[in-house]
Amino acid sequence: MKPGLLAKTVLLLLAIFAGAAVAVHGLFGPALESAARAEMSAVASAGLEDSRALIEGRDLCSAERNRRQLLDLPFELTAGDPARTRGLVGAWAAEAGRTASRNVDLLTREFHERALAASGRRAAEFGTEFRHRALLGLLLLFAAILALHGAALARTVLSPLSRLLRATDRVAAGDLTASAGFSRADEVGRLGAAFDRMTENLRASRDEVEALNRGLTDRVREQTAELTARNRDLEEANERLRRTVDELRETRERLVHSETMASIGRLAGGVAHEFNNLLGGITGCAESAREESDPEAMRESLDVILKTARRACRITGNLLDFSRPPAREVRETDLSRLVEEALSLVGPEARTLGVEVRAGLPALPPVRVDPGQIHQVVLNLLTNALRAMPRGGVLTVSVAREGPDALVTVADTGVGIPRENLPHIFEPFFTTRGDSAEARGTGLGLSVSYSVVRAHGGAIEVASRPGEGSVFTVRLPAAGEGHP
Amino acid sequence: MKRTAILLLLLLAPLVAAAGPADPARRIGVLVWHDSPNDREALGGVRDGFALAGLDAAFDVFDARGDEAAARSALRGWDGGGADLVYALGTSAALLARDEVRGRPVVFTAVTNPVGTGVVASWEGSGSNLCGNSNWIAVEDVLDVFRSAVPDLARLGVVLNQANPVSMEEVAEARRFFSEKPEKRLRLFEETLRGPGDLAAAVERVLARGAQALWVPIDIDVYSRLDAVTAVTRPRRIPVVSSQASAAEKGAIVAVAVDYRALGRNSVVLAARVLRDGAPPGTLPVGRMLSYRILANLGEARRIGLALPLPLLAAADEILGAKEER
Repeated sequence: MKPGLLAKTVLLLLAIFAGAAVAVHGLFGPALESAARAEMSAVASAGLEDSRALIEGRDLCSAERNRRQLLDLPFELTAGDPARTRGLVGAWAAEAGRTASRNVDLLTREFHERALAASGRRAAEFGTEFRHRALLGLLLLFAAILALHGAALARTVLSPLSRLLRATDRVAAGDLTASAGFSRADEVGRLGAAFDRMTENLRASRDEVEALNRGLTDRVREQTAELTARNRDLEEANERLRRTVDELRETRERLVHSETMASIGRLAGGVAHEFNNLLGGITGCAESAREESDPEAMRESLDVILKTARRACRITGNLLDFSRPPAREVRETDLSRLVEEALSLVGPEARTLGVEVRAGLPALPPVRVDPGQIHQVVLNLLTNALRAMPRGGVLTVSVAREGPDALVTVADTGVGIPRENLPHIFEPFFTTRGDSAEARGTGLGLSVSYSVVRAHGGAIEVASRPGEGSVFTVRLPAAGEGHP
Repeated sequence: MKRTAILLLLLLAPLVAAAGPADPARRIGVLVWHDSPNDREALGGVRDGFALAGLDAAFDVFDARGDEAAARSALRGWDGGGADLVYALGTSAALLARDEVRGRPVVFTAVTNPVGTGVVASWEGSGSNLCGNSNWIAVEDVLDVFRSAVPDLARLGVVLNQANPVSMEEVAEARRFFSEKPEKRLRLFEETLRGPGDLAAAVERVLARGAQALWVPIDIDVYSRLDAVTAVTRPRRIPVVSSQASAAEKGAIVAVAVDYRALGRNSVVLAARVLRDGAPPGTLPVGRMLSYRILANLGEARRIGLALPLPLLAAADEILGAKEER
């Protein structure tokens, strides 16, 4: 097995370091020794030079010093006595000798210390210089190693990598026939082989993708044509639908118009019918009165005429109320109390008819309404309920709060309202009762009630099932009209 | 005591005469102004000189301890017959002897500048009953020694004590020298002592003016309190130089001074001429030493980070090391 690139690099570095070590040992070591020897020699020479200068200087000074000191000796005191003179000179020489000896000791010590200090300084300087040179040498060695390693790297790695890079560029440009173009056993060689396998796999993959792409293109084309046809059909259907909608809108407008006209017709018919009956009664009574000779009988006919005329006036007043509701007087009102008062008014009639009254009237916060109008509405609903139970039943009345609204519910177990009549029950003069005037009332109660509740910002809802009864629910905003 | 000595001399006189011609014992009155190392050395030299000359002498040493009245009293006693010759050690003693002693010869020694301080009128002779020798060293020589110790010395500081005539005269001489020889390029920074406790502060002041070295002159009020001086100079590595020998042992890196013992001994030459030869004192020139001593203190120099130069070490008479410090 051939060594890998890392092993080669390690071997190369080891060889370089070994060579450097031999060079340092063989060349730098002797040079260092020579330099140290030169330094020591320089220190010794300097010390020697100082010593020589000192000895020379002291010799010169001693001569002059001795001359002066000898001249200062008081030979005059020993004149004529050679022994004393010798003693004088001898004592001077002995003292001079002792002083010189002390001086030599101290100077020797001083120069020894100076030499030590000088050698220490020089050694420190030499050490610093040596460290700098050693550092420089190591840097040069490191630079040389880097250069050699760089050259080896360029030969073994960078050149194959450059070829591989060119091949990669060709692949990137779409040429999958590119090849690394070298074959080696190390990591770079394996990289080249892997690149070649990769391009081969890419070629195979590209062929498969192209085949799939062709099939896919055909399917897309077919489905696009199909979608285009469907889109055309949808557009046509859409156009038909738009026309149908337009026709329906026109039909609805016609129906609304027809319904409005029918309502007006029913209203006019109701008014005509009502007044026709009244006028018939008045006419009959007037004819009877004209023919009557008995004043009493004539007065009775006239009373009937007057009563009928007053009824006509009442109908006219209600009709005016329906078309122009009177001004309201809104104030804080206890709804339960209001309903209770209305119930007290219909209580005798209920008992007469055998109707059981069930009331749920809890204490609730007041609502802002016109108490007179709402009282009229409740009374109308109660009256209608009793009239729907001529043979007895149950009348259930309750008051409740539902969110921001106050609810008044009036339920009966009477005859109920046919389904087809439900849309018309709030129209004026619409009634399902008998033809007698007493039974029918004015035919305006529910329409007036509807108008009053709507004027309060509320609504009247009705649910009824024929033979089972009806439930009327009045929904009023508790804070009054226009309040949240 | 004096009577006993005289009685003994009278009794022994016939024996001395029988033994041969011999000089009678001289009564020497010695005035010491105050106890100083210089005066002690000089007195020792005087005793050596008398012995060397074979002069029989009886010394009556009076230490005035700086008491002028006591000193004058002693001098008057000697002048009145208590002594054959009066010795005055130091300038102050010599000035008092000049004033008080009229009938006896006076020999002075250890007087730095006898002419400048008025002890005598001329170096050639006093013309009176005074003679003696001087420890004078030419100021140029002294400054050369200082410069050999501090090679780049250009600003020399000194503390002046106006109560001390010796140091005042030393500094005045140096001042004259510098004015006459500006080429020496050495400036003198003088600071006057303002009181006994002002020494350290005076040194601070003179160093603050930029002095590179401090000169301690022959002033016992300064050199005897050198510790106060070095307490200021050592932390600043300022060298102290001195014209007082003992200063070299107490903190000066170099001192230049005469050998006071030799000076005292040499003064006896003059005393012998007067006593033995009958020479009139006023005709004798003031004696001076040819030699002087240079003391170099290696230990003190190292202490302030200074290596004394080779020329100074070559010229030094006495080398002091660290062990010499006291």
